[in-house]
Amino acid sequence: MIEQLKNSGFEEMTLNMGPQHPSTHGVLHLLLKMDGEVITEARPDIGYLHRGMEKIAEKRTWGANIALSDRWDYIASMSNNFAAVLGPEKLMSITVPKRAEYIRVIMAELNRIASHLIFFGTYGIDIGAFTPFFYAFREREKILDLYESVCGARLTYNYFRIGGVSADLPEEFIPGVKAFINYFRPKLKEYDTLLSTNPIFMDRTVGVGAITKEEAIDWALSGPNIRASGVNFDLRKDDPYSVYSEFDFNIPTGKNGDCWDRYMVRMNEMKESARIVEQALEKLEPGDIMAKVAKVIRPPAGEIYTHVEAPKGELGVYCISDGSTMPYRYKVRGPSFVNLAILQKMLKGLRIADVVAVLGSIDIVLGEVDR
Amino acid sequence: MTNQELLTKIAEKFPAVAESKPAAGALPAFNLTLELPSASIAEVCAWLKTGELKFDYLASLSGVDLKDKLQVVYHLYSIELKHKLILKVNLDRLNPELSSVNSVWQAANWHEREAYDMFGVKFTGHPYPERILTAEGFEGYPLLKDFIAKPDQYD
Repeated sequence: MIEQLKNSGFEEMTLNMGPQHPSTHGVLHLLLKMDGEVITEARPDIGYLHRGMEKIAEKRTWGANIALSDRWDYIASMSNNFAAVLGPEKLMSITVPKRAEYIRVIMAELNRIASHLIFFGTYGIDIGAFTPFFYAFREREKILDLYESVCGARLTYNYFRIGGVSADLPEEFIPGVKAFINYFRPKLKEYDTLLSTNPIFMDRTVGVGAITKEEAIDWALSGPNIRASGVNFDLRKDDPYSVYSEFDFNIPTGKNGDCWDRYMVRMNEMKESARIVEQALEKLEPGDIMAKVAKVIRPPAGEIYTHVEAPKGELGVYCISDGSTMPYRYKVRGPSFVNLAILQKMLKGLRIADVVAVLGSIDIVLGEVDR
Repeated sequence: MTNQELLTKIAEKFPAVAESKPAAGALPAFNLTLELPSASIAEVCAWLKTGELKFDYLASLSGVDLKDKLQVVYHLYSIELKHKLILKVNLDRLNPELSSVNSVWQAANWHEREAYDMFGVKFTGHPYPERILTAEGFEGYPLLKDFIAKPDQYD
């Protein structure tokens, strides 16, 4: 096709999408080679937000790295905190008090809802529906208010500590969470009528950018992206950390692995997260929120890879300690970074209008891709 | 499958693979950790994926600078059989070269580019062995322990 066109004066076009483009959710540069409207080659160019997190981590104490972790996936900082504390805790064999464990789970699951709400809102905008954005941010605001009452911050929480959490829950927190869950449940139905089954939305997403089960595993996707392809892989069940084995919840999966499945998995996950939060609230009993930990954190020499199921997938931290107050190596395996890599394969053969639908459905945060 | 069973199965097939011993005074590893010669990495990985152990998921690939040598660490997982394995390959610090496992797990594509970008490890057979995170024209490998950052216009 291209050969014929070239002879008649047409040529393959290279299109630069980004780094500044509203649908890239940050600074992502896509280099697209096009044959008319069809993409023949796609190359994501990342690194615009690279801050050298892993290098900085080697010059910060273990505790200070929790504050740094807030800046990886900055819309799900609680999950990042979770990943940042698990490694040193395990190296030092610290047992975290039960109350702190439940508080951590409540925070992480609320954060999952908040992160998926951002996905829901911005994905609507990507596809051309403006209203969901306002609905999603209205609900997310209530979660941020709850977080603010606990730790004072609305985005970079720095709430977890090695051995527990930094502050106990204020009086108004538990009734606040209960009120939020009761308020939020009916809203999910509203979202379904608003966007999920909207014919225009379905036209743009059903059957677009499908990933098979084998591909998803081969590219090591994680989180909603791999589950949408029908792989039941969730670290909360497959490699339970913290107190997740005590809760009763389902893992939503999809069938076709297309954009709509990825969207629906996230919508259903919010329901399950709400269930976990409710169960954790019930189990919450008065008690300590911090284990007895030395003032200066000095994990014994050794190494460990710990991972948590962050809203976007497997967030792993590979820490190597040499017995000093600072990590010797602190590798962050961000789910967005790994999930984004498959884009170069997915886009091949799609039309230019689908790029935004596919990219949005992977749900990346560039802070975590570039670190 | 227990760690001991895993080790026996792998050692039967590849006698050159040995269990990695932690350094003096260090904690024992939390998962089965194997050390293997750099020349055999592609062969071992291909077998681990397609053989009976079914390590089909490359969770993470990291470079590590141990001052006297470089190390590449693979964190593997089996979605079906739910067991874990860590592979370590030691490399010469002056000429770090290793065959790419991109043809075994596609996920290695960006991980290997990152390890090259940060540590200068050259992965032979990689389809697009370019830097990935650092800015265009960046010199040096920032995660090496002896890297000295050049002050730029903002410092």
